[in-house]
Amino acid sequence: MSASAPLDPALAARRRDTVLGAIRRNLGRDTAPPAPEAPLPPAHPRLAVPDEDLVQRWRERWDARGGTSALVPTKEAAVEHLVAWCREHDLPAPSHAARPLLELPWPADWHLDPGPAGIDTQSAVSLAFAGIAEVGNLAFLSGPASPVTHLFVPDNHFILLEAAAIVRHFEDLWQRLRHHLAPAGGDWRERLPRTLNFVAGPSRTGDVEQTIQLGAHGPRRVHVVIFTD
Amino acid sequence: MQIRTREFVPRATFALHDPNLQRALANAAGGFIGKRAKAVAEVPEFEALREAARVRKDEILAELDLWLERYEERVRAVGGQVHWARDAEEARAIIRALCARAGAKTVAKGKSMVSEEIGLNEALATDGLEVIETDLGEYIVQLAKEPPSHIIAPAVHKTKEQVAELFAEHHGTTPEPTVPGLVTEAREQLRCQFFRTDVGITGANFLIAETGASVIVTNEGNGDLTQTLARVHIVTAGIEKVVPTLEDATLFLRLLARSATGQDSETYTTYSMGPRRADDPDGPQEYHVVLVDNGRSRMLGGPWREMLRCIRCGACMNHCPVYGAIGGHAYGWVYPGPMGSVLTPLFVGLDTAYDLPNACTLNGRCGEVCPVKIPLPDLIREVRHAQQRDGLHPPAEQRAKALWRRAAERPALYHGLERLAVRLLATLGQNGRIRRLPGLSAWTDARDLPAPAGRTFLELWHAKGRDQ
Amino acid sequence: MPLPPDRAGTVGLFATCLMNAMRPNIGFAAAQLLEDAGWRVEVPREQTCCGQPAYNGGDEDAARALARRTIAQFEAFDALVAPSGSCLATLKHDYPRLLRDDPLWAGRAQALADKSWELLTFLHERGGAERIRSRFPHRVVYHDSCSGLRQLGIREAPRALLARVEGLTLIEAEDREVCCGFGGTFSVKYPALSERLAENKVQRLLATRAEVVLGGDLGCLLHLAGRLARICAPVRVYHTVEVLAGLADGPGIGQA
Repeated sequence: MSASAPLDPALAARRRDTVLGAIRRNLGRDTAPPAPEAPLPPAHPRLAVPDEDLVQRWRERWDARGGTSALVPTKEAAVEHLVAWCREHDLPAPSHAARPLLELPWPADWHLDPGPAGIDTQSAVSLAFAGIAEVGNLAFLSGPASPVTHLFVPDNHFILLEAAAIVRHFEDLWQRLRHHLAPAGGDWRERLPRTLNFVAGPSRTGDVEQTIQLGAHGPRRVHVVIFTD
Repeated sequence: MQIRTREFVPRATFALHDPNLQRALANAAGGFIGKRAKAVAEVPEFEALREAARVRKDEILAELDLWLERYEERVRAVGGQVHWARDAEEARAIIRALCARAGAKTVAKGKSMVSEEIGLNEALATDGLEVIETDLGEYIVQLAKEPPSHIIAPAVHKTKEQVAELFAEHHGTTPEPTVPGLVTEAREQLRCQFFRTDVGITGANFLIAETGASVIVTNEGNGDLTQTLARVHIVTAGIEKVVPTLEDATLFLRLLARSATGQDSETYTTYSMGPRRADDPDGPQEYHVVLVDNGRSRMLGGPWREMLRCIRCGACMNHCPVYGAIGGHAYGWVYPGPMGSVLTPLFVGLDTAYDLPNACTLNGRCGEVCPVKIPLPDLIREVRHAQQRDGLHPPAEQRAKALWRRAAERPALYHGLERLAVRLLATLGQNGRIRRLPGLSAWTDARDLPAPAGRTFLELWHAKGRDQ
Repeated sequence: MPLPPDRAGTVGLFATCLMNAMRPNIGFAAAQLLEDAGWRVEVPREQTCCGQPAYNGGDEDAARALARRTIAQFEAFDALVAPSGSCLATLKHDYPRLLRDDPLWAGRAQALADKSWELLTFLHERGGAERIRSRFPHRVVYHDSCSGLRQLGIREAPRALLARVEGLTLIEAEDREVCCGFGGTFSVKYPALSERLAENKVQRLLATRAEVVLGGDLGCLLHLAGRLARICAPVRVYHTVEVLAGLADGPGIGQA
């Protein structure tokens, strides 16, 4: 078989038809079932999240997995906090940041690059799209202003999260996402980013003797600064 | 991957006597079981989630063709391509062709059981490609030239000393045999690989029809580095992985991490939809999904459909006493433990994998912990029935079963034989037990046989004239 | 003592193969407990095996034939009761499943399943527990057999009943929900595996320093008693009903 053969459209179509045909035959039908009309998202059981204070709940869950977090009043205060945090923990100044964050009042000697992280990138700052209180994790949408490599390459990852962006359940996030992608209506699916990333703390592995070790391939330290205003 | 299921008995026997393996298994078992129990106890809704997942997955499977077509349409809409493979060979051919077209020299892989199932690594190596497994556990077994021994903890059978030896041999370093030392060593070695890889291959925990997304769940971040830094991202997935909506994926994800590792969420959950967009700063330029049938469509038709609910969490093997005693390698193919005892015979043959469903006590703990309520003991028994229909049980056993049945249908004969046996056994007993019984040495090699008193209950009862 | 009307009836005692051959004392203990609870007990002469070995061994056809026999033998009784969770799981779960496509037998299978009981559950839920008058001044550990535990939910009943035995101290073992490795024909088809699981279980039981091991299924008990005897462990093994009926005064299983 030549290398290009599997990409031959006629062969590909035949394979597709065979697989779909086999599925139908084994389900006892000849044709596809009638397509359901744009169904409402199914209502599956959720986990009770009784907490009044979602920020508090989010932080408890996040911190329990080895992440760290702080709560500050404003974005500007978040900047101050990060500068102090790096100094206090003897961490290198970030070299990369998401584009929307570049306008913040960073110290003059912090040179922040909005481009993708490279093999030497030690530290980056990102802006989360949302937090989910249910498990205490963060959602990110990839895009021109938010490289995916920032989430996985650096040793140290700093994240700014707006308190109001913390939702209770994943279902709330899906609603928000659909609205965010198509605020004026239209098909939200046309505007999907390449990736939607959820991050729940530092990278970890249990692959050696089932002993949890942080910093497997991704960041060893993930610090979230929540700003309320 | 080489099929070694016929060697189950010798491999299991050796496993029982391999001190390193036994130490590693003892370490692992308590951890998995305890962590899951704790995670489940924290969620009062867990049973409701299991039931909802069972119902939903059955609904999806009944319309699998519809959701796959929708999924394909959405992948195309976001700029990706879907390739359908009827069997393992076609899946390999498609991926080899994609790598060749991309001019690839190196391939990084995230953990994917389907890629093990289709024997992908060997095929790519034949083409001269350098293939690197990036999940730490997979990397360890790749260096050891072994298959994974657990579907979520591939190197669960290795001790840290063994890992240190492997790293020393392959990296030319002398890492400390401590967990932090070894993890750091692997991180440094693999980091360069991520940045020079041409093609990144990942599996998929779910495929979402409404968005055309493939979802992966990892703790290390290796799958994300694999797919983000490569020029070409190829996803391998079984056709049963599709779910209709984001909400459906959430339902199954709520069960997956808790069942697998006892976490409320894995560290990274990533929804990938097509290649990088025109103005994206990073991400792959091509995105392909290879949908693998390889016998799954056939499973939809028979008594095995429920097995397609499996979300590959590994809870069944973590709670299986046989798996806990011998580890995954003894099972001889990709899928070990209870789920493997159903799946493997269906993939490689009822005959070839004869022992897997039979080497099971039917104790039922696997079914009890399955997050999608697969009745694993019933399905394991069902495989035995299929083996019976094909005449695969050992001839002596079949003869014995036939004779026993003939007797059991004739009460006078059955009770007569019982009385005879009981009298015979009673004469062999000393101090209430029989230490050696020729013909039943499989029993008496390891245990005494308690000796009966010499009369059956039925004869004693009726001798007293209790009724009739 | 007069009986409440809902307990006046006749029970068919299912004499499991292993009990019938290996430990008749369990059958007499079962009958005594049922009679003490106010039931008339009959033991049908024509009964043989429930068919579980065939069902688990892959021979559905044989299992079906034996299921029909058992149903015919017992369907006239007010209840079927057996001192075994394993056989009862076959009757209650597997018979209806085996015969679901048989229009003549599906209903009869379900009807029998609905009135079939494992003995301890029967005493615990239908009454009779309060009539237990037994003394057993020993430290005991109870082994949960898997079929009863998982398919019938037998967990509380034996513990509640044993709590009524004078002088008895119940100690719980670690990993009490883990299989002992008997598994019917598994024990002779895969002896090395079975031995390892037995040894794991025996270690857990011995760690409790109990003098006596009790359980509700004779298969597991023969397996455990055999292993305990082989390693010369000074521990006695009885079926739970022997203790409840005050008939655990003779040698334990595998002892003289």
